[in-house]
Amino acid sequence: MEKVLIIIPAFNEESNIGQLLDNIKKECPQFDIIVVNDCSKDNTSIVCKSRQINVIDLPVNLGIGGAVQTGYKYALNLGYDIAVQVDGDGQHNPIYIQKLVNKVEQGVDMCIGSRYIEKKGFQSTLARRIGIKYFSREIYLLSKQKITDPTSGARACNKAVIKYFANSYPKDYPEPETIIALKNRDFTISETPVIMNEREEGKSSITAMKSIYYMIKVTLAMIIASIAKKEK
Amino acid sequence: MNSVFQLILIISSILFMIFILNMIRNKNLELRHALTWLVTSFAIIIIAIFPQIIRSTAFLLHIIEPANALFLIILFFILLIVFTLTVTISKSANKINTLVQEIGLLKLTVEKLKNENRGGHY
Repeated sequence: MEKVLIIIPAFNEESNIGQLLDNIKKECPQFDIIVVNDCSKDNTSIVCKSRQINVIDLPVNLGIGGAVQTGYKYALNLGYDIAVQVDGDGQHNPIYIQKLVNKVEQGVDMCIGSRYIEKKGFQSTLARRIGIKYFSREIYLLSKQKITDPTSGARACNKAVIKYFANSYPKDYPEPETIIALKNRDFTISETPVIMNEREEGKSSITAMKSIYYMIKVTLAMIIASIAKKEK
Repeated sequence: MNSVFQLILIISSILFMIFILNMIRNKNLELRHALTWLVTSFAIIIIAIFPQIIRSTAFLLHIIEPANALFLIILFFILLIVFTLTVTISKSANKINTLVQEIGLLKLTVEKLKNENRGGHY
């Protein structure tokens, strides 16, 4: 039996995370959960602790990359075989966690939950879809890997990838960049269809003002990741 | 160059260097990071004492106005300082990132140990 850890990065998610944790406990009670509370201003930590969930309270806000990486460090320290990342905002339906884990158990290094394979459920806004298509093309150009949903935060990975992520993980907007970084180190990546919900409450971390910076930063980060030195 | 202006430049650049050295002595500046400033202030002193350097540099680089050569040299030092600052900030940011993560992990471990101990007592 593989030891599986579910990593949930959360920043001001008190209104979503309780429901998410209850759903996870119902759908996959056999997996351990760690919530990384990225210095939330609200009661995120208390909501988790009242449900007997382990919470890492970061003393300073690190941003999504730093928070997720903390989860991978925790997974590495405690010797987990598989880590599954689930967003704290309730966008990812926990019924797909088992599916992602199965894929990794079958031998792929990382499996990404994609909402654009079956094109069901919440498909995001048109502008975002164009951005995602663009990243998808860039990833194909840089690594010859077809990824339909490069910004998806629903992903499972095995021990080797946990170790790599614990040592090196991008600070902001990490998802597309990590795909290139993994491919560059000969890890295998696959996708599996999932259905995502619209955010229940709160806003996405990417606002209109930041989107231009986001596009430029991620484009450059992927190019740099593809030519980066390969220390494994 | 006007000799009064030269005198002012020499005095102020020497004062600037003394100021930096004093900061290092009082541990307000880390020598490692103040090195670029020391080199810069030393270069300004040399230029103030031997303004011919500017003229010959201008001549060598085919710069018509010596003042432009002066700006070029100053810009070079400023870029050097700003760049070393960026490098230092990046390194510090990475270190802080790692430290914050370790503190978070440790806090959880301590909390768990505390709870275990409490359980053992009662």
